[in-house]
Amino acid sequence: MFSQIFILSPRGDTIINRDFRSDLPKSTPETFFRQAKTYSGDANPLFTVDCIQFAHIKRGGLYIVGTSRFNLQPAMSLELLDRLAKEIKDFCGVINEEVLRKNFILIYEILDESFDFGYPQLMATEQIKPLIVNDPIQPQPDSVMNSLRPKIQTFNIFVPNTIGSQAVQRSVLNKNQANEIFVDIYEKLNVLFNSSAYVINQSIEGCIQMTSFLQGNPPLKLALNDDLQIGRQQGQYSAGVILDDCNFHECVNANELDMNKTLRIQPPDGQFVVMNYRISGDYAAPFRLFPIIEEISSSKIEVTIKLKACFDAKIIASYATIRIPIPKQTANAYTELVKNAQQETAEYDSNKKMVEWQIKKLNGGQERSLKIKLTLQATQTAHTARKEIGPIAMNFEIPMFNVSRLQIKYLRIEERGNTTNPHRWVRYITQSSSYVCRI
Amino acid sequence: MAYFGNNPQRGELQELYADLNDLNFEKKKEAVKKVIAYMTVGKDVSELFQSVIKCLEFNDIEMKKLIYLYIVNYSRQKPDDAIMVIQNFRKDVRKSENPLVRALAIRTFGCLRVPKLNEYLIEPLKDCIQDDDPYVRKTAVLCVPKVFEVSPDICPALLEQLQKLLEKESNALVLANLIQSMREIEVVSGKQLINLNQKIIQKLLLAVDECIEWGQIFILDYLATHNPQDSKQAEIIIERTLPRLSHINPTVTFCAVKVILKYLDFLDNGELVKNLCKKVAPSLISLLSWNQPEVQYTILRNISLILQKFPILFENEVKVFFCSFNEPYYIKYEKLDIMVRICDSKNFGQVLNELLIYLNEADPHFVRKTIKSIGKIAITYDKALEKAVSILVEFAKNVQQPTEPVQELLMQMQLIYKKSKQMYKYDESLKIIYSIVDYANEPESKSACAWILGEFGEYIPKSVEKMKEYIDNFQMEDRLVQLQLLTSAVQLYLKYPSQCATIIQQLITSAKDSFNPDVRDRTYIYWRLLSTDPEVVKNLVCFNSGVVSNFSKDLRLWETQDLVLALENMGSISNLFHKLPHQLYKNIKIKINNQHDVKIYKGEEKPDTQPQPQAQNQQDGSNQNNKKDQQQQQDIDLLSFDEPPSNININNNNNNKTDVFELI
Repeated sequence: MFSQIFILSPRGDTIINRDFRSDLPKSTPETFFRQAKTYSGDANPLFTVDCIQFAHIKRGGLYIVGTSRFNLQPAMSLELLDRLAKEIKDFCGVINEEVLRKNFILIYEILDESFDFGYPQLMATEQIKPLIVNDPIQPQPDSVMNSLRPKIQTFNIFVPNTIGSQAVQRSVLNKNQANEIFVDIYEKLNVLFNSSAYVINQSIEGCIQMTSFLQGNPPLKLALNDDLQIGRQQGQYSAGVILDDCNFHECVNANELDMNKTLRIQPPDGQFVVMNYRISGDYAAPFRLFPIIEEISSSKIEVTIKLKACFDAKIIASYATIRIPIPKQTANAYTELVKNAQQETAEYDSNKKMVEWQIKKLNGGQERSLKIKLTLQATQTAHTARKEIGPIAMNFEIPMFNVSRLQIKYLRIEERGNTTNPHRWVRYITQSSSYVCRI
Repeated sequence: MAYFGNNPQRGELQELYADLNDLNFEKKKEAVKKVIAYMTVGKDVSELFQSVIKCLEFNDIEMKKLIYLYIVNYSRQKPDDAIMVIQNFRKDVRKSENPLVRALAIRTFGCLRVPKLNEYLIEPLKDCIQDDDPYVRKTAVLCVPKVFEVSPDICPALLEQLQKLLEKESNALVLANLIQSMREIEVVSGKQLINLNQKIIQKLLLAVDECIEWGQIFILDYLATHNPQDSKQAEIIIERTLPRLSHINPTVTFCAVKVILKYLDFLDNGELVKNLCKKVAPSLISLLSWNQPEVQYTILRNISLILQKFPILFENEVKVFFCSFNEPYYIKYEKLDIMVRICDSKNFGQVLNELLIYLNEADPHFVRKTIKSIGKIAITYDKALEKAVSILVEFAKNVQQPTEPVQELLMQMQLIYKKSKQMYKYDESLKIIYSIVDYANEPESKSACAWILGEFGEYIPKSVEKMKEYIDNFQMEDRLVQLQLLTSAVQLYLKYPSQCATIIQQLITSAKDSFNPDVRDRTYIYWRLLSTDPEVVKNLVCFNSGVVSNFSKDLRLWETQDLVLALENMGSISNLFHKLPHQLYKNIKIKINNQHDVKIYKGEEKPDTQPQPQAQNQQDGSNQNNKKDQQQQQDIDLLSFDEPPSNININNNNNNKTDVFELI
């Protein structure tokens, strides 16, 4: 695994340098920085110089780098560095050069608990909290970021039984925090239409995310739809919600999911993803796009795009943006919205050869349309140019709406005799990931 | 590591020295912190070694951590001074009530890496391996490979202890570390250390459930290298690994996939294998949808490897690999590659329809790759040939500029015509392709045009004029184009002797003095050939190979025996480069694998065409056949002169030099 982990400033100065195996030359940080600077943009996350593998991520302008002489697992190395960054952030509140320089001893401590001989050990903030003796030093008091920083308990007297048998240990929480929990259901949509608004390919990538500020981290019980089904059988049609596949956070016990659709959760502090899921089946796409292209003359094309919001009228989509690439040989483009259109703009960007249509708010059931009149340069005819129009890509966000109909039936705290009833907040958000209409 | 100008000023060192020896504890602590700060930025503070060590006498864990950090850094520079610390370490390890201190001491001890200090380490280390606290045990266990690396000869007792611990340990995290460190020692020493028996496997499988994610990775990764005794055992291991497929950490999921795919080979029950494949595929697909593009890329690279052995996994899932417009280019390229691999007689239409749409993309590189993929499909799958050609021809109709995709198009058409000469008739393809030859501007595409001109001269109007145009610019062309022009011009000459006589003379005059030996040799050999019987030449040069049935481009990434090794390293960086570990790293030794027989997992039989898997099966049994085929392939190459067989040419030249001048 990793031979060294070091953190470099944007100018290449070493801020942290931990050598786990002493099998690489001391000059590797310089080697890394020199190589990273040879890339025109951001350096590749993984590269090799002289048989040394360098994996790195960039956080707050700093390079967090792991090196190895061995056959690394690339995905794992990047994941590890990312976790390390998260840990540092949990302890110090922010990641930037000043904070890291001030807290370098703390970071060495974190590194020592997280890695031994280059192998990852304990890498969750809750797990290593009891093992860390240094307090974070805050650079400037009272910035917003710092107030979000978790308070860290210092243990000088050690409590035995350092590693419990459970994968995620609970930690002692601060008493003066609000006793509440937030649950978000995010869904990202991938939809591909052909020119006649017929769906070629669609899928949903969703996740249930929690942010817990519950006192004492009590075990939770989360119930999902009764008609939930996991795993799709070929040629099977069912009215229920079918997830093709899903995966869970370590703190989740999904044994009862098949039986009574509930998850048992031992929530850690702060934000975590309870479950990811993927749905490839048919669902009603929230928006439909109908593009019509007409060749008016050999040098003029008219593009009309109709947009229909196919969801309940009570739900409002926000910030819908539709981008329409138009031919490179366009001399001029005029956009025409419906008369007295409100909160709606359409602009032509002559550099990118792109028309951008923005709709700030769109209620379900409504229809909008846009007309683009293109004049082509003499070098190209309308007939060949029309092939260059599209594909139309759409971005949007719809709050309090989800396409999969996956729902949270209830969220209970399992401990009996708990007098306080914490606030529970549930949100549904649907976003576009790749929402494309081919022409 | 110290160099001029980077040392702290003498005054600074002295100040630190004074502070370190101060009686005030806080002052000392501050001074130690400063020393560490200097050390981190690479300044040499080794002179303070003794003063720093003295501070160890305080029983303060924060101070201890700092000083240990210092010692680790400078112990190899000052081994003699480091001996003084030993007593402190031993005291910490033996006497401290606090497991954190014990673990800290043993961890630091292991990092000293000074051979002569290690003998003092053995006893405390033995104690720690038997410690009551799992935190100390897990640290001690990882300490063994550290010591082993520096002084392997004093370790046998430790190794024995590790083996004993493996038998009785119950804490999951300690087990994970234990497996990892024993594996590392196995690699370094080349000896087998872990004796897996039924009991230990059971234990490891239990530990996987309880372990933190990284520990799960260690254990699963190890299990993937193991060969089970029988089908029953394999079944148990797979069963216990299945829940890991739905872990949120992509590496855990991927390790689980690795274990399951490995053990499939050992299962007797065919139905079970099929069901398992159905479970693995969604997890792999999920890895592609939830992660950042970098992780997706590694997964895609591995999928193209997995596909070679498990075509069954994705046989109905080609849609997953369709590119979406906002993906980074490296993901798109990889997906194109996989689409070609996944293509079969059932879904080629679907794949080609999708590729057809990519042809409208703006990025010329991407379009070029798409055309290449279409070409590959056409050449590999006979059934897809017509549809692929019609797509390419349609694309050619709209070409107006010498763009990158056009170059690729010409090259692919050449390959397609080589595979099946009859295709020139299809949809007037030849006429349309010929209309764009002027847009060729890369050596490969130009040589493809020249080849088309020579091969189909009789079907192309004004082919001789075109050839003359090429030959006028002969000197400016790339070597590749020159070689092809020679062959094509001779072919054309044989078809139209009277019209081409001047051209061929012009060509030979300009080519015979070429600086390039290949071009010169080929010129001479044709020259000499032409001076013999034209009929013989015709048989040689215009050799009609008919349909080259054995043309299917090999899409396999690996030879069968390498495939096993590659699959074992699934997920690692060597696979990212599609290389084997020892090709990438000199320090890795591999077990040579003589296993030629690799099970291929296909879906339902498709009776008509089994282009690629069959090629594999053949290879095992009939190497001879293969060789014959290769020979044949070479013969064809000889005649169409793709690769100049230079040695033959040279011999001929020497013998017949005098004849050469008779022709002109």
